[in-house]
Amino acid sequence: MRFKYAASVLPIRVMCSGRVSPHLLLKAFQEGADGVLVAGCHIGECHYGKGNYLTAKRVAVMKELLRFIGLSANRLRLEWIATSEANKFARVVNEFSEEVYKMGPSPLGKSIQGAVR
Amino acid sequence: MKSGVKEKIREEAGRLIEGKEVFGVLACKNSSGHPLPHLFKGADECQDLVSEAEGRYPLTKVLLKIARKHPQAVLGIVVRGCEERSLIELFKNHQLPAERVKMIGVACSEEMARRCRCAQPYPSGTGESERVKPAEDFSDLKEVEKLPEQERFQFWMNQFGKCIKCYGCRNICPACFCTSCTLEEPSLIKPGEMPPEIPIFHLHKAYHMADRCIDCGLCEQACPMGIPVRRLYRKVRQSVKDLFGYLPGEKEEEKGPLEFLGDGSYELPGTGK
Repeated sequence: MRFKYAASVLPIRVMCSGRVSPHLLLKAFQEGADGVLVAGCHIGECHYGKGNYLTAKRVAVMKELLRFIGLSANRLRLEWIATSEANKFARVVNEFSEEVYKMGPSPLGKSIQGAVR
Repeated sequence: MKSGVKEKIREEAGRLIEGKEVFGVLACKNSSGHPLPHLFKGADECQDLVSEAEGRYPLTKVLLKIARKHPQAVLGIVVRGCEERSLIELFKNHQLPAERVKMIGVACSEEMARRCRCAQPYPSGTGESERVKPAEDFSDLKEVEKLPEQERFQFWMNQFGKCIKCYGCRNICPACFCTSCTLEEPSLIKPGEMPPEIPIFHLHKAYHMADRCIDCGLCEQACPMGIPVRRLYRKVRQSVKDLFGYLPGEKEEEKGPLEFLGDGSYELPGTGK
């Protein structure tokens, strides 16, 4: 079965959601991403043991930081999606891209950033 | 510092040096009327030992440098509340073994506490009588938080845009002890750009501060452009406290929540359905 999901998404594969350092999230926003979705394995099902425990903590702190500097915290989202949950993946990606679309372009997007600098 | 207290500290420092318990005592020395960091090695020198009430210095950072140069030496240091907290963070992060540091505590005056908005203007060793009331206040955070989202973003972008990338906030930070730094990583921050890539230049540091910042305020005092970076670090410090109930610099045996994997008991509300 092949599920269709929003074409505006650029998937970046990493071995574990624990690999997603907060610096990478920040870099994505700086490069002009309107939203960043972190999809990891469910808590307790980490292939590497406990990688996703750290992800949950990191994303929570990062959301607070983004909210504080005036980037909507909703632009960053964490979801637990297992390998076998292809339909959940498609659904979450569609939902999230819809949500981000409603929020409009990120104020860090290239064209706007040019004006700020 | 009251004169009686000052005498006591000089005496204590002299005793440590004379008893050969330490290689030297790090404190401020009166140099033509200015307090400057100095490693006191002789007991007679201690007459010049003064408080750093007027000019603040990252004494623990200096201590770390000396300790790295002399890997066997036991060092004495005159600490205030914030410096003790930063030492605890250094011990916790294995930068310095606790046995190698002998602390002489000194409480701050009420005026100093107010100026720093300090939550704990005294180290744990000081007597009840010397302690002054904490002057913690979050009006600076609230001022930013009550702005609407777009204005908040503009506010921070205008502030960050002033950055001249001098790395002053990092160099002075007593919690920044790494020998290689994210802020100098070309794949994350493009080198040779002025101002640096904002806002992530400051956010990278802010995230690092999340479970390390001891809220001493040296960063903001060091910033030549007057960027209110302390607010950013206070915010993440506060969010770590709200989310995980952890405050850096308090207990030596408690690890920062972002330093270890944990037991999975922390999960974001609304996910994992």
